[in-house]
Amino acid sequence: MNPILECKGLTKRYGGKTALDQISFSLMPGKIIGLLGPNGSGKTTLIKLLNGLLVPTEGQIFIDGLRPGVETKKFVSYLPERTYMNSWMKVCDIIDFFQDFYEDFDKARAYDMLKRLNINPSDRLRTMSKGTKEKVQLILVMSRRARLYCLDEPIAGVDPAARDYILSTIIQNYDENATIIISTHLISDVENILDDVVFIQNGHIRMVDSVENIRFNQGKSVDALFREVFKC
Amino acid sequence: MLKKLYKYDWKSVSMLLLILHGVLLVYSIIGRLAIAIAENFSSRAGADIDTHLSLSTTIFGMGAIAYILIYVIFIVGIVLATILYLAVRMQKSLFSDEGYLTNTLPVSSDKLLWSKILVFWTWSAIDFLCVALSILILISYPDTMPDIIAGFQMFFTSLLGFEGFGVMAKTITVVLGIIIEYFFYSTALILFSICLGSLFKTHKTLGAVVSFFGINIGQTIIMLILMFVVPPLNPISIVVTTDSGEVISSTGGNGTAQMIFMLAWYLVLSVVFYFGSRYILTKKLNLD
Repeated sequence: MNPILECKGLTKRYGGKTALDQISFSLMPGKIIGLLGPNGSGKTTLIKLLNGLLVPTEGQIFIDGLRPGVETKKFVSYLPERTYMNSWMKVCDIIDFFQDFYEDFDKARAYDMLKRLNINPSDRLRTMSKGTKEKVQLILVMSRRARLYCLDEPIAGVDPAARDYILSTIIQNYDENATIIISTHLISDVENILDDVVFIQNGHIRMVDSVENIRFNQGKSVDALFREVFKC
Repeated sequence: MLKKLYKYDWKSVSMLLLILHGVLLVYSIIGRLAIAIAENFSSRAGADIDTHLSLSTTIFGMGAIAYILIYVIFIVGIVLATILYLAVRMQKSLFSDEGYLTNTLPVSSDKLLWSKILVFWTWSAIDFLCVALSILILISYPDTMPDIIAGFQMFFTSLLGFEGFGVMAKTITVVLGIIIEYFFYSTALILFSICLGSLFKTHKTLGAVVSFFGINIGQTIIMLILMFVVPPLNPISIVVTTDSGEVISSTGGNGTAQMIFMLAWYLVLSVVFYFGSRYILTKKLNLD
């Protein structure tokens, strides 16, 4: 079985600043993985490299054995930390857009989630609050039957009630064989849904382990270990 | 996929541009109606005493000057606004927050670029037709129609070869030159400048603007140097004749050679800019 994500000596520099420094690790499919690290640790850079939005300075990155490109974009569903939808569009337009471009998009699932959240598909995005737009974006991303979901800070900037909804949406709407990578620094909120964790700091991988091992071998919660590892 | 990309790119720009061009046509029709009313009024005023005639002529004359002034500003504005708006939309779609969606679609960068280019060409053609139609609305009268028709006839007889092969070749070269410079070169340069701008660490829009003018000035200088260096392309002609008109010596380029050179020059640059844009999108994409 191919690793769903494999990095080999992956480096990304922005001018003189190194965001990722020679990182090498691999992740196996079928798990929910937390990409955990403080702000500025390189989480978003790694996710952007995975989605082909950045080009590595050195090293290689493979998604299911392939370099980021047209083929990988067919099965990677990406939720960025910003709103990427055209504000002139209606929710139903953007749903049609996703259906046009992604073969794995499930329109019925999207409309079902919209209905449960009382979001009117005829509403234009420009009339919506930031929180509602984020929910629409999450619905779009989770309505794909993707093999890999990359969720960059999906719960940052939303209230605790919305966090619960977002996490339950993620859990309820992914296929068992799919992999979810959740990048966040809000460990306690996501800890209970994670199978594995990747700790990242200053562009280096500090640890890759399963949540079970951390709890069993170290006798700590992921949150407690995170606080210990990243103590200022 | 290209068809789908084109559909969404078209939708994202067309609402504003349709309104803008609609307003231009309505403004032209209003002008046409105003001219008809003014003519009618002047002819009736002519039957009255001279002071009435003079007053009405002055008022309509001032109105006509104001209208023409606004009309010229409007036309120049609409052409520039169309290009600027399309360029801004292109930049936003590829390199702003929207770029996070555009660049994660499972489509090749060639298709992304061609979709933008085709929308640019479509709107440039619509823009040209609307401006031409607007001018036609204003200038077509029973007494001007014969001249307009004669102009079109002359153009098409030249283009179709009824005036001889030489004239046809020249006309085709001129038409091709306009198409290549306006559609191919301009679009490819705008796209390439936007892509180059995205490589700037900060002030990406300013980077795109600087790239656009920098490349344009640079290529013009190189083209002029080449034209002066290669004798058949030299744009300055010196012909020495005797008093009776007999040619003693002549230097300078050949008009046809110059046109063909410029045509090839802009075509080559368009191809270079396209592949440059493609290279940046595939190998140098950096969405901050």
